[in-house]
Amino acid sequence: MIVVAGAPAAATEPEITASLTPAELAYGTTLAVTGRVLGAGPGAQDAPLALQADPYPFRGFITIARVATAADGSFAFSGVRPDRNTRLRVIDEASPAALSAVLGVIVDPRVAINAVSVGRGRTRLSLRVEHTREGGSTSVSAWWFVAAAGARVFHLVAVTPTREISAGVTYASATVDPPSKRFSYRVCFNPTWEQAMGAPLSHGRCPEHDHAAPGDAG
Amino acid sequence: MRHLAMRAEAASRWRRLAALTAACILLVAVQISTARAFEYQGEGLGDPVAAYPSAKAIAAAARFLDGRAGRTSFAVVDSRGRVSGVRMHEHFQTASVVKVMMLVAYLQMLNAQHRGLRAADTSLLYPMIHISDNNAASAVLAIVGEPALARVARESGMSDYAPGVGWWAYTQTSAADQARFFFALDQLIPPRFYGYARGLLSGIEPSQSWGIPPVARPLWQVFFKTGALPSEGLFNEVARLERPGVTFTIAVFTSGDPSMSYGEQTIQGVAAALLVHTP
Repeated sequence: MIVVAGAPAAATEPEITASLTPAELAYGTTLAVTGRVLGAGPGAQDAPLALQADPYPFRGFITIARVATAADGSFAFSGVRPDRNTRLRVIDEASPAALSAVLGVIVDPRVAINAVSVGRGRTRLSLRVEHTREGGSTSVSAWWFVAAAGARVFHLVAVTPTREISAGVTYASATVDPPSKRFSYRVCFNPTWEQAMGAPLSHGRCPEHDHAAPGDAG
Repeated sequence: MRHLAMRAEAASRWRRLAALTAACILLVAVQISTARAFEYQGEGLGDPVAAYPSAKAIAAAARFLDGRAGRTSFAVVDSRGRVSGVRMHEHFQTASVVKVMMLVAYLQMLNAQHRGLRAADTSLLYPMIHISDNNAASAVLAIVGEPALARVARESGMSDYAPGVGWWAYTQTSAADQARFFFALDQLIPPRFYGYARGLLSGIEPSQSWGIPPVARPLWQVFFKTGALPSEGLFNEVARLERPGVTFTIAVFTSGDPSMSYGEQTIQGVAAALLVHTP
């Protein structure tokens, strides 16, 4: 949860504190923005608040929901469903100078991966990703790596194209010879929409060669 | 009423499926905590194909080699890409085995120049490989340059390569380097020229086809190159063997052999031990 207060407004302006729960969420799930209007005196009740969103690529805020404050000045916007990384703020529409601080929301793609043995020497690995439609979804390469149980080096075993099977849903698969009966696998891709989703640290290039599991190097 | 019950049952099944799906997502789609990209890790079960040649066959080849005279080494990259062998990083002169590196460098050069094979190209590459013509090899090396061979060595992960001093046949290498190099041929040679290269390396004339091919054929497709410096009793061979679903490579290096036929028999013996069972 992130709790922040807006910059102190003029003496006559109320102060808006707001927080996000959660601040990072999976695509398709919802968050709540809660907080309180402070220093507004008896007029705090029924103050008209607007929730404003500025989704990636962050070109400006627009109002996406409205509520009124409760008797104690508290408020809650629930069921907010951003489809990509978004900045949020709360504004008192009766006192437009009263703004909460900007709250950053990270939206991760919703990912399912699977491994199914389809015969001797053949295991089908698959990746299904639900993601924003912002940024397009042209085919890119999915890099597949496997490591035998207990091994820390992941070997590149396949590079296959991704394809968008329906709007906002991308799929890729590879059939590989597993390195052992139990094994670990990794899949990595750099989608066209990557800047719109996930934490900044996840916006690097995929490894394109065998590699040791990070953090395990001796 | 029955209709409603069926709908309820279907809804229940869907909820169970949805719950199961959600559980799978939570269990398997774990983004790597140190991920630098959209990178996910899961665990899988499978039925792997056993590596070929087996560890037992490789051990038998090692025992055979230890009974041979002279300085010897061999390396195998098995069908799972694992390298093993005997004295596999010991340095040897390549002799004509280096001509395959020249072939790869030349084909990479053509690819970089966006041009196909012309008569002038094949008039050098064909004799260099088919009859192991040394003049053609010198001409190819003059065209591609030594740095191109060094690049091929880097790209194939060689650790024991050193340019030849005075003559390309004195290029330094090891069994491990050459076995790795042959295993990576399909990655190193531009796709448009891969068929041509395979034709050259599997169609070498009979007098140059000693050692591994007579042992492996016809069960295996053999892509290979031999090398010899008879004055030093040096006889080498590197081969890539393929059957449907199985690819592995062998490199055998010998020097100080009492005769060429002795060197050939050493290489044949290693191949026979490795190929004792066909997958």
